Amino acid sequence: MMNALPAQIVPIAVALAGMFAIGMFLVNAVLAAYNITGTIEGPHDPKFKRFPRAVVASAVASAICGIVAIMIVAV
Amino acid sequence: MSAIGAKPAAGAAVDTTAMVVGIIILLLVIGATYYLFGSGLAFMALIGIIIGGVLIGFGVHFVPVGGGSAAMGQKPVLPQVWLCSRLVQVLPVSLEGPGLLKWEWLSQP
Repeated sequence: MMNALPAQIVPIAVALAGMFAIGMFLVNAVLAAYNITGTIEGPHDPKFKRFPRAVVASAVASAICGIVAIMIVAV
Repeated sequence: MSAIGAKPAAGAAVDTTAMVVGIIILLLVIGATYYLFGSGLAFMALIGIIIGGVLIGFGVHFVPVGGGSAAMGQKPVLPQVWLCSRLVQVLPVSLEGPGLLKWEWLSQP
């Protein structure tokens, strides 16, 4: 992007990938918890029935984070 | 405060309007990526990120083995909870790490 050598970019790129991975894990876990309004409190919790909402919410949040990450790298 | 006896005040399993809006946003983002970058490595990376994110969201809360559901169902013994939470933290990051790291190679000329 700024005409730097690949050897200079690689450590920055690795650190950036690690930060994105941890951030997206946090977003997906917290968003799913908000979507089923609470955390699962044991194997017999009725909140298990809300998994379609959580799946769609996680997909949308991951897609938006993903397109931000791709545009940072490739533009 | 247990959820077993509580009423589901937040709604049913499927909120149709919200899910349709969410799916439309998802298709818009995928279409924008396809339009901007073509069907190459960038598009495959986005599909990988979406699948990884869905697996994270599903695995943290709905897997009754090593995730939050198992940890909350145990008696509060500190090492067990710590170990379960560590496993849950490590597994999704290891799934997503290679997907994002592979994408960094595209930034090189």
